[in-house]
Amino acid sequence: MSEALQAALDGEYAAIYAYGRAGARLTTDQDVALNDLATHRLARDQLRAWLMQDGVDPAPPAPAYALPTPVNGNASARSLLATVELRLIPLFTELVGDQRAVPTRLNWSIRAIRNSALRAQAWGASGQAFPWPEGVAAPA
Amino acid sequence: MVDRRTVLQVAGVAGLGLAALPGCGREDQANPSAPPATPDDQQSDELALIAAYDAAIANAGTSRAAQYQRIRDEHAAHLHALGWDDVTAAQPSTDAVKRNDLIVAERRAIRLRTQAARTTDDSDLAQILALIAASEAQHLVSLEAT
Repeated sequence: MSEALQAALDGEYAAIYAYGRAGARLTTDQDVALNDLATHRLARDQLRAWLMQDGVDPAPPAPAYALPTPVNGNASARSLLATVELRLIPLFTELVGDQRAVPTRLNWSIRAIRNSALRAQAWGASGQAFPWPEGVAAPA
Repeated sequence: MVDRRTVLQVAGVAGLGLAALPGCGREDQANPSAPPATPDDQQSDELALIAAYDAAIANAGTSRAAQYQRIRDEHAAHLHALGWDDVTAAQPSTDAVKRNDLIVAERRAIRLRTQAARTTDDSDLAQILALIAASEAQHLVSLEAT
């Protein structure tokens, strides 16, 4: 169970890093990005709390994360944020399967999938029948 | 039993929700001795959504029709992932369907799918339902923005 929680926490660390990098390049919707960043910090704290509740020490974030594409302007910043949001979805989907014995965590995970899909769409991702990042394999 | 990995790989990752997937149907459909299958609540709701979009497309302008068609095709992919392949079971509505009707239907769909994801005992199905709810939330935003 802890692996899925830790993987989601790692995803949130990466998202927070990406919002920091992309935020500096946005020329519009900086307020939206700040709000999304705050949401990801809350998610990070929640996931850390659940890990500790389960008796697991949450792993710390990496010092830096490789960005999938260079961020050199508004368009690439928006694209990065859309990608990052979509990349969180498999991690939350795994949590839906993994944490279903705890209703609070299950509900949180279902909401997290929806909210990431909506944020991805707001940053420019196309609608999908199954919101999912390109090139990422389905969870085992 | 829905094969989550197959559905996600084909429908989600490759974005080809309408591709035929052998072995993807529910057990009762795979068993030839089973009585004729009827759609369950989630499948019925997806069929109703497809019928509503078909009716809306018939009376929409070109741009809006394209938007409705895209969403309608995503509902067909949802239906397929839920183990029901016969899209023709969607009975076209004889009433005019307006954008606001679609918004109401999508809101209801999100609620239904979310609730089902919370309550089903099938972990794989819960994951699919959660992803479908997310897609339907995207539909809602898309409809409300136009």
